[in-house]
Amino acid sequence: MNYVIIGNSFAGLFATEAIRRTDPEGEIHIVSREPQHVYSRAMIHEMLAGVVQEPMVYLRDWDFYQKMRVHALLGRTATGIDPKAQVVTTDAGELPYDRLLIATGGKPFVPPINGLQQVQYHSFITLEDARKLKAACEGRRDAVVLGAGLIGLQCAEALRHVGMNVVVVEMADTVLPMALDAVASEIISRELAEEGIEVHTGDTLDLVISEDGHPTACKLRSGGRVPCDLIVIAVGVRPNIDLAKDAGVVTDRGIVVNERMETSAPNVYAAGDCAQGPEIITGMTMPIPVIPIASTQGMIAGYNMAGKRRAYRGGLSLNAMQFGGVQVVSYGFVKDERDGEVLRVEDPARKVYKKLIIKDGLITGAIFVKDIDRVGLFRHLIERRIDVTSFKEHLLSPEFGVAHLPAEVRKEMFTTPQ
Amino acid sequence: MRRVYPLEERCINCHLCEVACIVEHSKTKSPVSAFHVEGLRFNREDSRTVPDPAEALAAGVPKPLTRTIVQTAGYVSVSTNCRHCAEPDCVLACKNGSLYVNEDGRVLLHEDKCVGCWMCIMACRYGAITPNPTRRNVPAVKNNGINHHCDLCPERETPACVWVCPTKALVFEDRDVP
Repeated sequence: MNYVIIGNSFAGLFATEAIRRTDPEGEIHIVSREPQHVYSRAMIHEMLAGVVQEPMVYLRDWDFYQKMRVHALLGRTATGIDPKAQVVTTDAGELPYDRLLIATGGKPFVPPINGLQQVQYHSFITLEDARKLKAACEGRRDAVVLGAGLIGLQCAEALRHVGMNVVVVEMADTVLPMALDAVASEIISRELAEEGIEVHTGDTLDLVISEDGHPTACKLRSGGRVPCDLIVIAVGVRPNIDLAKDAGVVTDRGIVVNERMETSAPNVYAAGDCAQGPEIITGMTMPIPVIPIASTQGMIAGYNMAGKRRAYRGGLSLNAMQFGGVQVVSYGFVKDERDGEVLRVEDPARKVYKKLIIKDGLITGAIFVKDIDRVGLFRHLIERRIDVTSFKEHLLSPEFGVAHLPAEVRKEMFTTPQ
Repeated sequence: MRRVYPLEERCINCHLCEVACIVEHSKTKSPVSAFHVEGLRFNREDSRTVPDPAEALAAGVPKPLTRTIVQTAGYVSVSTNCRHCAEPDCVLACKNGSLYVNEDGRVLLHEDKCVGCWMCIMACRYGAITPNPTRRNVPAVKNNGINHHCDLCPERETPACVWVCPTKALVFEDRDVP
């Protein structure tokens, strides 16, 4: 059996391990545009800030490909897929496959901004982006980051840590508009302000002013003008679906997959940030670009590719982040409070905030700021669609734990191997 | 593989499992030294009012650094710890490959690699992971710490919590279905 995996991050990694557990014999080729050993894109802000050692960004030991008996074609680009002939073309030749996994992740979205194309601007997705940005910081002082999503803010924090003046500009009214609600966003905003990061929400860049290809200032839509000699565009990441689309595989926002991670083309699978798989609360398919979903989808794809039938229960949007001294964990749809009952606990002095949205007895969204003790229990309640009505009053108490769950839920969790 | 399973109907809420866990993972393995000299002592009541582990450490009321946690609600009490899942959600979520499944099936941590991002705490549906603020690999980050969870007591035949339990409310059994 010939397996080809395009992409070398979480989905590709866990697919590789699942294939090897199931099929010790098959040939596995991994093709990745990036030349590096398998690493975590979620570590690049810590690399930029210089707070971690480089080996900490790599996801597996150096002998990983050897141990897995994988042909790693790193620094090679897949240029096309022929689903009829079952061949992937790359800049290093053709690769025939029996099973193909597309795990191409996401690519940055760059909005049209006057003057932007005349200057060198930065994205902040890959390790190479981080290295380039770090080098660009030398001799520069005033950074502007467009976009206050997770990537933009992590980049801003890292730039601040290496001594840059940082201005963040965000179109929405709050920071982290997709991930958090207004209260949690406000707590994060205050952390950023304390770190000396200037944030302009409800605003965007109207014009990048430059001299000889170097930015000197940015004009804001609100009329202000900020000095700038370094620009990072972190408006968002879109599923990288070009290869699949060109090959005639069905795509929507992402590459559409079923619960076995199969695409519309026979023997072609997709997983991770490029895929649009089932979501558990809505039952619809949607891209959920977070690490645990990419890893799980990759693993499920790997098992199915190697002939072990496994179905995916469906993904849940979930994230953990920290800014300043504040940790945040969120699950599900944290802003959609329509027809829902909302439970809240707020302790502004300690920066603690917790919120649950409950609809028809089921939790559909949850945010935990600062106090994240045992929050994973909420993941279980949400993913397994457990009715919380009978123990609702305990959910946000500091003592809430396993003992508050219905006995049958506890039994299922703790008396059999998981 | 053998794992620790709780029998909640036998639990009497004595928290000896927590004491045994802390002592087993201490340097001296003596309760008095572990709690009073190594400073692993904890105050359950106070630590609830200061739920952030790093803050609690700074305030002198460190969170229990036990790897099995007795939880109570009314007359129910139960001690729970890492399930050592076959396909662990924490490993699937770990953002830099610090968590891994060992050859013997235990879920373990590369302690020098963990950056304290708490993706594991978010991912673990059993609430079995706590931050250990006494070990910091990224001191530049406020409230940094590392993952802390059950390692099934590698130096013992039977994990300390199971061994110490006076009512046999924790058992160490192989319940795998072949």
